[in-house]
Formats: sequence, structure tokens, C-alpha cells
Amino acid sequence: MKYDHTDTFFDQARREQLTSAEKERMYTFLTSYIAHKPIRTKAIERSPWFIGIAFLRPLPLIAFSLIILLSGGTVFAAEHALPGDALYPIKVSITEEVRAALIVSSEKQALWAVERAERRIAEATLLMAEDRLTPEIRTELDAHITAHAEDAHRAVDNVETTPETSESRMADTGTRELQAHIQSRILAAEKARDRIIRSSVRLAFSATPHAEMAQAKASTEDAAEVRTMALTIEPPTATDTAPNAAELSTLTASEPPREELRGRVAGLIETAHERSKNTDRVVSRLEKRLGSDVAQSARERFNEAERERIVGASAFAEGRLEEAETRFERSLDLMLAVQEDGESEVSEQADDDTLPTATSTATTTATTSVETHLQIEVGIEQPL
Amino acid sequence: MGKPSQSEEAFLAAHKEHADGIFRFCLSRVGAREQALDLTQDVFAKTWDYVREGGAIDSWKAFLYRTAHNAIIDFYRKKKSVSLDVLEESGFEPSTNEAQHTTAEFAHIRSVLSSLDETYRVPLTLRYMEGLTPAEIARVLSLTPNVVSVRINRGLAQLRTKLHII
Repeated sequence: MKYDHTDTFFDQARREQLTSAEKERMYTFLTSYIAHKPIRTKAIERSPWFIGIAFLRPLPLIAFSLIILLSGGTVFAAEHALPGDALYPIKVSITEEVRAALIVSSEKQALWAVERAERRIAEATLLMAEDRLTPEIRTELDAHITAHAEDAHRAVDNVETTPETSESRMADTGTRELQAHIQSRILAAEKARDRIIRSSVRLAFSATPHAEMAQAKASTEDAAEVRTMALTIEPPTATDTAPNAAELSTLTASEPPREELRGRVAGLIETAHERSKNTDRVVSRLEKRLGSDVAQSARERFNEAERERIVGASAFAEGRLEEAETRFERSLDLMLAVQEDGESEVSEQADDDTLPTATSTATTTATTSVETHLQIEVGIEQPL
Repeated sequence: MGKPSQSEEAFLAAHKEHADGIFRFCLSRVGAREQALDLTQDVFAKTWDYVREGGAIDSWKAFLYRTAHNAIIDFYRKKKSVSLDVLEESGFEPSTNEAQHTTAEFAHIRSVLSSLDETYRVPLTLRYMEGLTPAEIARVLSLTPNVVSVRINRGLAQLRTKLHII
């Protein structure tokens, strides 16, 4: 082919396009992608009670909260309320929020947020043990845990930024340790939450109640390990809970097995959705902090997990339940792996902080050409 | 799901308008059609991730090409660790089911393009195939508009030589 002008050359080149089938497929993928990852909004709205108090800020707020705190009886009784109890909203929306509002330092805020998440887990565990964990309560607790974990993440990040420039190198290691400690607690809380959701959903649909009960029990034990529970938990004994499970099994036994599978997959969808949000956060944090290959590979694996999740969702919508189940399982595993790696990476980095920053600055400067980029990257890998 | 929000509509419209261009841009730099397809999809997924986090995009075109540019760099970074062994075993074989798309002519165009220096090729394709202005290209590649113009002109000269146009 001869070209008499570069324009004709480019005119030809421009004719290379996506086929309409390819375009259609990508469009379908993207519409389901954005449907599954909607624009972010605040996970939980503040209770109207608290908004009312918040308007009084700041001095009257302290006075008001002191009155409440000192008025003793109700507040004290509320401390042990469970979801569904009359005093529970007072516990969650007033005493805990007031305490949160009175905390000034980021570290304490982070710790308090984690503790609140752990309290919600303890409550969920307790309710599940008593077979009182309804889907509504589960969803509500889940939203709370997620919101608290988010608060804790934010507070931890604030802790990090403040002492960076100050001369107090000594205090730095202490801060890091505290951060690592808080982060591991957040992660533990998030994991416990995922397990609770998963096993409670499975429990509701399970055909083999005993195995599932064992699993649910394992998860309550996990949650118990999360530590510093505000409430003391009596772990359920197998005999206590078995009758309920047996009732369940008689109820579900008449249902076709298809429905069980559907229920299980529905539970997986929910869990995967939640975990996706968390993993996304973990990866974003990794990227902020490391900006290196590690963060990048985490992002890639997370994207793969997301793809599995989305394809799984469409399989579910189209009734291919088995495929949906395996896809969700795979997605969940991937995301868990990403979270775990991310967490260990962050703590490793706390030990040795200089290396990754050197890498990231070197990599960001090299954007003009792939070749130079590769050279630079190879160049910095060698001497270390 | 309710009705699509404003940003969802804007995003899907951007996909409609720029999918071909982004695809071509990826294709001109990675060679294989399937990889270019994957990359294109990733570019749009990443862009949505940015939008949903509250990121504001004033020029979809520039943003998408910039994302694509970064995705391609990432692609090459990742690729070097895997592909050599695979290539040794399987031999280099361009993907086979491209049948009607990769006509001999496109293959020719691609080989001409890939014979150009990367430094010139990228601004050149962005300018003449995708119709970006030098200012937009400067944003995509993190260069100054002047440097972009210089590269476009040198690239054109190189292309003329390759095509034997005097």
C-alpha cells in the first residue's frame, strides 16, 4: 500500500476499531461494574438524636453531655443493651457518640472507633448465639461496624500525618507500634464481621445444620478473640443451639435444594459486596503509602476479584447458581489474600521506611517512555 | 438500581465516544488485540473508580488517554516478569482469531507505526489518529506543549521517510 500523504495514512489507521460485539460486551461489563460500585455515600447516617445535639456545639455540647453522663442510671443500664432493646439507641446514638465527640487526640479516637466496632461484633455474636440475629439487625450492625472501621482508619491516618515533621523521632516508633496495633484490630474486626455475616446467612439457609453450627461457633470464637469485649459473652454450647438448627432444617428440608443454593449465593453476594468495600480501602491505603509494585499488584488482584464478583453477579442473575457460587468464593478468597498481604506489607514498611519511598519517587518521574521507565526500574532493583 | 445518576450517564457517554480511540491507542502500543481490549476495559474501570471516589473530571478525553498511558506503562512493567518464559515455550505467535480485523493493511500500518521511535510515535498517534490537541497531549504525557509539538513534527518527518513520501 502506498500513501501519498501522511493524512491518508492516518485516515486508514483510524479505521481500526472495536467490533460492535466487543463494544457491546465492554458496555455490559461497565454498566454492571458501575452498578456494583456505585458512587460513594456515607455508609451510615448519624442518628437524628445526635444531629440535634451536634447543633449545640461546642460548649453547650459538653455541658449537655455531662448532664447525661452524670444522670447515671439510664445511661449505665443502656451500656448493656442489645439491638432490639429499648435502651439500645441510647447506648449507640448518645453515650457512645458523646464519648466520641469528647475525644480530642486522633489516637484515642481511633482506639474508641475500633472498640465500638468490636462492641457491635460482640453484640452480633451474642444475638447469633441466642438465635436473635435477624437480617435487619445484622444489616444494621454491619453498617455500624463498617462505619466505625472507617472512622478508625481515618483517625489512624491522622495520627500518622501529624508527627511526621516534628523532631520527635523517639516518639515515632511508639506511634507506629500503636498504628500497627490499631490496624490489626480493625482488620480483625472486619474479618470477624465478614465471618458473622457469612455464617449467619448460611445458617438461615442451611440444610446441614450441624456442620453450619460448628462453623458459626467457630466464627463466634474468632470474634471473641478480637479482644476487649465490652460485654462478656457466654459461648453457646452445641446443645443450646442444636434444637433451633434442627427446626430450621425441618423447615428448609421441604424446600427444593435449588433454593438453598440460591440463599447461599445471596449470602455470598452480600459478603463479597462488603469485603469489596474493605479491600478497596486497604488497597487505596497501600497505594497512598507505598505507591510501589506491591500496591500495584494488590490493585490488580483486587480488580480481578472484582471482575469475578461482577461476573458472578450476572451468573446469579441469569440463574447459573453453581457458577455464581464458585466465582464468589474465588473473589472472596482473592480479596482476603489481598487484605492479608496488604496488612503485612504495611507492618513491614513500618520497620523499614526508606526503601519504598525511594522506589516510588523514581517510578513517578519516569513517565515519558516505557523504555526509560524499564531501565530505571531495573536500575533500582539491583543495588538493594 | 434507580435511574442512572448524572456521573453514570457522563461516564457511559464517554465510553461510547472514546472506546475506539482508547482501544486504538492501546493497540498501537501493545500490539496484540486481546491485550489492547483488556487494557481498554481496565482503563474505563479505573476511570469509574476515580469518579466514584468523588474525583472530578473536566476533560474526559484527556483523562482517559492519560489513564490509558499509565495503564500501558504498568502493563509493560508487569509483562517483563512473565512473558519471556512463555514466549520461549510457545514461540511468538500473534493472536490468531483476529481474522477479518487484522487485514494485511492494518498489519502494515501497525508495522510502520511500530518502526517509529516511541518518543515520537505516541504524540503522533494521539495527534493524528485520535485528534487530541498538543495541549491535551501535553497533559496526557506530562510534557510541555512545546515539547509535544516538536516531537510531533519530528515524528511526521520520520514517518514520511518510512512511507517514502518526499
